[in-house]
Amino acid sequence: MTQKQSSRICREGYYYLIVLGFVVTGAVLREINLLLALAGMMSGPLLLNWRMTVDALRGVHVRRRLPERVEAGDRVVIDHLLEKRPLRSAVLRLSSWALALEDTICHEDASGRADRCRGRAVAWRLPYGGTTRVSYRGRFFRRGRYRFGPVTIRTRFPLGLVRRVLRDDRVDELIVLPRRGQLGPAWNRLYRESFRGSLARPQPQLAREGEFHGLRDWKQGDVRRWIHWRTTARRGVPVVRQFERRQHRDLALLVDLASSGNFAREEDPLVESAVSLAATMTAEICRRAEGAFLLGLGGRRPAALLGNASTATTSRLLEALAVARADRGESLPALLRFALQETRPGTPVVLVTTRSLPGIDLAGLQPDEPVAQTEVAADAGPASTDIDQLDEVRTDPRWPELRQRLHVIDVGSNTMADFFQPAEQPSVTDDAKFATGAAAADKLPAKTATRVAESVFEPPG
Amino acid sequence: MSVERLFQICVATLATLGTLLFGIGQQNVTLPLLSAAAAATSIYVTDIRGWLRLNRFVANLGALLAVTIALIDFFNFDRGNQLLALANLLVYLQVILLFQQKDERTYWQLLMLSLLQVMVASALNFGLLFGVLLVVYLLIALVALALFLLLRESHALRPERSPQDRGVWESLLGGFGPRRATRMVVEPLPAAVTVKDVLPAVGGSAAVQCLLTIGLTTLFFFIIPRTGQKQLIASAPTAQRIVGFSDTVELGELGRAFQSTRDVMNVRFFDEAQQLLTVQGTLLFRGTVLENYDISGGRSRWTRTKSSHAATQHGGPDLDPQFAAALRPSGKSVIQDTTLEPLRREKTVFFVYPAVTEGDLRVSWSASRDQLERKPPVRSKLRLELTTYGFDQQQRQIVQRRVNPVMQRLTAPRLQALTRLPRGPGGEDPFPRLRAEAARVLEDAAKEAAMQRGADEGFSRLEKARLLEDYFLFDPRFAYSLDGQDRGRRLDPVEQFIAEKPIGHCEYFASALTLMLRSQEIPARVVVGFKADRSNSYGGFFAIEQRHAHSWVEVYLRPDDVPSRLRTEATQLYGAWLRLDPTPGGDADFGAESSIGLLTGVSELLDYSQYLWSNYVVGLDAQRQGDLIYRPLSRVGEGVSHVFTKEMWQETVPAFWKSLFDAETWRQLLVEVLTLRGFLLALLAVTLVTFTVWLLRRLVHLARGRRRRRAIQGDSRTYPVVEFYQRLEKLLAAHGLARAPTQTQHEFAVTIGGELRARGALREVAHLPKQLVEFFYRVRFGGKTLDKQQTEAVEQQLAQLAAALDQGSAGGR
Repeated sequence: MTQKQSSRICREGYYYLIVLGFVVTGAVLREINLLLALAGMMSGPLLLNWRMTVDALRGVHVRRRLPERVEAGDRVVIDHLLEKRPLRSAVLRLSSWALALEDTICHEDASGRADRCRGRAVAWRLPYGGTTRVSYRGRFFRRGRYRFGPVTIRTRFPLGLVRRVLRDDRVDELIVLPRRGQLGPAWNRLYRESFRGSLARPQPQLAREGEFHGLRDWKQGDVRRWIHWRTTARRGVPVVRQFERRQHRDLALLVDLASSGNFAREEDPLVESAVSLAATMTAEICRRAEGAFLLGLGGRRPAALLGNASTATTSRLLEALAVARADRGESLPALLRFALQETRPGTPVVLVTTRSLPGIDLAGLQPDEPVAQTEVAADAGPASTDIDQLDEVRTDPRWPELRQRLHVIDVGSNTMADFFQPAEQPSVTDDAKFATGAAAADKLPAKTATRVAESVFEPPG
Repeated sequence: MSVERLFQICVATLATLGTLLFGIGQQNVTLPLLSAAAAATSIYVTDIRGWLRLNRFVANLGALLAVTIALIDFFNFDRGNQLLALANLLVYLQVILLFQQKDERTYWQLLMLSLLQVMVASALNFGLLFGVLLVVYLLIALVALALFLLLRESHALRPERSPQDRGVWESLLGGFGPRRATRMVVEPLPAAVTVKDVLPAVGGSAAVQCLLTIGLTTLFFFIIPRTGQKQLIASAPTAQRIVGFSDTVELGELGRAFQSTRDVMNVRFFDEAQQLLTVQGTLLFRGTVLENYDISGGRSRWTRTKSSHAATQHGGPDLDPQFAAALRPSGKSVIQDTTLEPLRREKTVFFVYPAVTEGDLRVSWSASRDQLERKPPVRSKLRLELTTYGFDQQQRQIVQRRVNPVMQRLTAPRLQALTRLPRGPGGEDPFPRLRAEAARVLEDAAKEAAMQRGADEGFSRLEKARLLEDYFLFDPRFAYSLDGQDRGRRLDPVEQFIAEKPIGHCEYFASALTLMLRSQEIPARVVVGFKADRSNSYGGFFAIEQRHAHSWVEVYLRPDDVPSRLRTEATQLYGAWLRLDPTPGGDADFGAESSIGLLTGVSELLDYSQYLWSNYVVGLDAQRQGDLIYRPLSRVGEGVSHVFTKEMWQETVPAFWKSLFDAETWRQLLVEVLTLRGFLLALLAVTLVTFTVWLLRRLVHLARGRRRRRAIQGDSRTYPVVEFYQRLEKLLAAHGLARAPTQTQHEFAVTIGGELRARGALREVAHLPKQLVEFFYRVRFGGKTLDKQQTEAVEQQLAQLAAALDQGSAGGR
């Protein structure tokens, strides 16, 4: 973390200097004592302004606090904690006033283009040796990695003639998760059918414990080892730790993000839909916490994540989904290979894809060749691929078995609505109201405005 | 009250103050009143209620009209007043702006206009009140600027325009181009600030800044050297005309005599050792002498002598050497330090007779008019030092003498003129009663003296003159009044004064005494000048105003007429002038000390402040600067150089140590500090010490910082991690592929990849930059370190890239 400070004369300071120049010139040329005195009276405030701005930012440190979990489209409030640390060399222990904070937020899209924005806030007073919190709010419409920083703090107090800027180069990252929707009845059916006659075996509770779930009162049959002594001592009655009962309902989710690449700046809606669906499903599966969960992500950077489905792993999985980027479909064979290698027979495999499968006969197609060779209408979305024809999987002896337990969900199909209802994505015009609300709040007294801000713009819990 | 409202009030106050400062110098109340009324009205009508808000078109029209008026004034005014036309324009523009809807730009314009007004006022205004108001202006301006800053910062937090706020054209044009999706929207949280929150900080910082600014300004003002010989005197475009003083005295005018409090001069007296002297009693400063009384055309007046005897002599010694030689040993000299205010026409210099100018070329002695005169220009202040011999001195107190030597031989015609009484139009004696009265007074006195002494010895000229003076002073018939009396046209005014209405002002008393003396063949003349009763108890100076103008009488005494106790070598040369003041309430109180009441004390304090302002601010010149700052500093410097001598340690240090325990030393030091010079030197010393301490601390801090940086640079934990990325950038930059400051590393890698792909030969290494950047991100932002394998991979990729680039460049050549 590096901090740099610099001083500059503001535009108003330059106007001031021009007038001062006139005064000095007149005083010197005409030898008018009162003009000399006036020049001295004008120089003093300029020097003092510079000095006071230097003192205002001495010992000032800033720490950014990002929200832990943000989904695309959520309203967020980004906090900055400003601290003015005491200095041994400080002669006067003065508070700092009117510190304007500006944070740089950067988001890179799939093509590497960066979209930048600035978050602003003002700390009216930062007491010496104390702290103050300033915030700005925003809404991130796209999932992905957002980079915060560098942050600059500037002050021009008290006269606005000289500006002192403190630049903190520290950069923080926030991963905005995909927006989740609502899983439909088709998903429940799929889920149930996937595990009908499954190999899930209930395990004796004593032999294996699942993840810690919570506390409950002791009951007959509980193991003494599970007693939570601290809570028991506090409450006076025996309390035990409760564990997840593993059902061992393992599931694999493959996400095939293929895009035709027709969308230059905006994200491919099918890809986003697939990611949103995958995220919703991941959250749901982890919430149930019924076994192992395998997530295979296609796209530009294929990734495979394996772990026990639990709320603790949700964040990691959703983060992987958040940064996933589409490709032209080259990663599908890899995904299928992953499923062949990592899943046990009988484990349901759900493949979420942005293209229809099976589609046009692609006999002889090399799996890594771009699908643009196929005769596909330009507006038909990503080209279809007959997965049965892929060499990689066709020759694998385990393929027929996998094929039986493979469930394909094409996000572009007409039946998608049964599976999944995406959440309503707020638009820019909503933020016009967001802004108008802010403008209306300006007219209120300070305390009321704060309450309005907090109540209206509270992020979804 | 909101911050903006308070700021509007401050701006209105500044606008009014600026105009007031400007109007003070011009003694013009119209513009300040107009400005004040406009400012007060605009706050309510425009800012609070919004009833009247001039739109841009109307405001521009108004400004155009104001400029036109100003231009007309500019070409109509004389050269000295053209600046006023421009200053008036500032006021008009200010009034127009006050009634506009105010935004940041308007506020700035109002502030700048008021500052420009102060700038113009500084060139035209010299009074003490200007200085006081300037400090008030400074304080309010500092508060206003602070509030303006807070206002601008809170405006900067307002949300940007929403899509609904876009204009028609923007909306139309926006529909034709590709619509860019917005990935994020970020806005500040509304953060209102109230006056209550910030007023302590704003007020406190303004007060501190004001004090520090005044201190810095004082130092800056007094230290900047003034240029050599030329006096830094602010020239007054409207020099004052002395109404109280005139080189003619006209009698018989009706109406009350005008008493103006305009300053004429400030005077102090020093001995040869530059110690300030205290004057006992009243002082009379001689101006011009009027020897000729004319009655013509129904008017009676005194004028200067018509004699053209002796040419004017310039420079000095301005008197004949014989007299100068006789004058000096005869009495102790006193230095009269005078600062004369600028005059329009009058070139008379007022002094305590007799005095010499010690070779000052700016003044000259006019032998014909028997007065001291200044050379042109008369429109600027003049500071003079004269050596006067008109005092008797007892320690630090001086008393003005009544008998002083004549400075040049009086010729017979001149003496004759001093005893001449005019004749009426028909040749009759216009002063029968006056003559009779004079004779009666002397006769009565003679009889009384004869009765007391037992013999009629007769009176000397001096005694006769004193008797006639006492007649006016002690006769209850006579009364002093400034009101003009209707004296009719039948008698000469002086005759009428004696015979019928003995009420009048000093000119009547002086005229009557002079004519009475002349009726007794005693040479006498009227002298016009200034009279001072009391010096300022704070500064020890005499502040002479126009209302102190006075007339008295001088009687010529032959050398034999001078009493033996008053004879000097100089009086024996050409005789002496006996000064008489017949006006009741004249200089009869020698040694009287008057107590100072509260009001008088305040008045004197104001006079002293005005004196300091005139002499050490407006009138600061090279000479005063030397006396105040540079000579004491050089003495300090000499003292410092003596520190390293043996004598210093053997003699001075013990004496210094002893003086530390002496109360008198501390008392004198306190007195010295309380003087202006002492205050300035103390301020300079404090500033130097503070600056030295600050410099030392800064040097220590820098040294510590350098040491800390060296320690950090020795820590190799951070650098190797991103070092490979720096090498990558350097390598690419060497081949013309530099990263733009606005590009992220990832953007840069993608761009470079495309560039390399486009160059067919480098297609194979196009993916390397991205991979290297991935490693960089992992380390820089992910907080991870590279293991051995990854480090090797990085080195390998860098080498591969370097080789390919070199090959590509060589091929290109």
